[in-house]
Amino acid sequence: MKICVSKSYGEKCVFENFALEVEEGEILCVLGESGGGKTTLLNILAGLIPYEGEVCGVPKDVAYIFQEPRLLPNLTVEQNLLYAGGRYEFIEEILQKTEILDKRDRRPKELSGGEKQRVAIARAFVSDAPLLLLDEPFSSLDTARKIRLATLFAALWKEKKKTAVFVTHDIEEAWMLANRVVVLKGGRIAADIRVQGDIPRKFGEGLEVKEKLLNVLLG
Amino acid sequence: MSKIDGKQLKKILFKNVAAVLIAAAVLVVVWIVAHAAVGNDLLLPDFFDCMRQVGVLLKDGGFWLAFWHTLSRVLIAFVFSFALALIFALIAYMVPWFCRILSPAVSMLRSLPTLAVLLIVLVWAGAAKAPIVVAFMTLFPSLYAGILAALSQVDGELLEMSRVYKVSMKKRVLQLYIPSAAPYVLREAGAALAFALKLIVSAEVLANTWKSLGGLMQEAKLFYEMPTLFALVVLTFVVGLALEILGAITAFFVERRVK
Repeated sequence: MKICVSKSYGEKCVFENFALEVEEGEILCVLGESGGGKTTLLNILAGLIPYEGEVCGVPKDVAYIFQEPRLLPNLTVEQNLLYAGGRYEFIEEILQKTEILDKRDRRPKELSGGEKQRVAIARAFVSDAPLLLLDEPFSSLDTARKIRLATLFAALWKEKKKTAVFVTHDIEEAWMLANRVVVLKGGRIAADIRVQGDIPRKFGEGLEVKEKLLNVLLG
Repeated sequence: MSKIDGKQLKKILFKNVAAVLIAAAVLVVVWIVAHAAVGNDLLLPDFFDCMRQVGVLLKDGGFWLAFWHTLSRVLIAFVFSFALALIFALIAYMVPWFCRILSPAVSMLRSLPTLAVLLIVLVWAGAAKAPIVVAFMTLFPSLYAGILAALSQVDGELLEMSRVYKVSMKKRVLQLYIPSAAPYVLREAGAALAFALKLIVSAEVLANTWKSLGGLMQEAKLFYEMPTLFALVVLTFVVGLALEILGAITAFFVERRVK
């Protein structure tokens, strides 16, 4: 998947001839400061906003895990998955894997923040979409929940091997989940680093990689 | 329904019923005092005479026939206005150019002096149908605007999610748009139903529609049967209030279900 785009919001230029290549089956993490264009990049890939330039090889169907779970309040967990195109025969399995099978008939208001985000993850994985977009999906969660959900995400990803573009401002999240980290700075790629090892990597480890990323961010 | 729902409902009902009862009691006191001050039954009949007349009307088959004719006109005008407003608002919401085209026509309908137009419609449609046409001309633009406003309040983030997951339009309408807009639309509809009654009765009075509440009022006025005239006004008011309360209760339950 190749991206070469320019994007402005009025006078403000977010990207100018921004080029990025995403390999099939990898988890690419786009790391950057808030307001640096990370969400814009995902929205371009999802076809939600207009842009100038070219995006090649993006599949027709994409799944998107937003910062907020974005569940329909009037529908149950199961109905929310069906609403987004989830196939009925796979729902029980995905709910079991995301450990919310007992919540299938609950409405979002009856769920905790972490459970809602699990539903959002289940919704993304139950769809046939080969590309997953993740917009800081764990940013509103506490550390324990963040680790649990990152572990869950990694387990599901290993099974389905979908290509994933994951944006975050959190170096720890990037370390835990990414195969490759791209640091976004001023609308350009400031660093492109491959991270070795099986995911999910242990929280708190990988000091060398994290220091490298931090130096790029601060530099 | 959970215990909390029941408690909340009781509280809301109590508050509303208490408010209505207090308002009604104040009106009765004002009426009795005003009657004593005016001292002329032709200008302002006695409250108790009027209530006796309400009793007489409620036992009279002719009243119920007139009531049914008026109510059926109200329902026809309301259903027709609501259905068309819903369809047009949904299309206008999804197709911006349709909204732009419809906007001047809706504004024109809104600014028409309704009861003056009644005189023209009376010639075209006759006394039985003219009130329906006039009520439609008033209800349609306000319901259309209300439904359109309710639709534009649908959560933008959920719409974005629906776009990403390529949710079909049918699913979006049935599971996102309608449930999100329903509480506001129902509240609007409840008020519109009560307003339709007011409009229909006013138009019937002007058109002197035969066998209708408005027609009975016109007849009572012609023969200076003031207690009957006031009794008819009171009964119309009570029916209007009941319709509005019915709409509010339905909206409350739908809102609980949706949110």
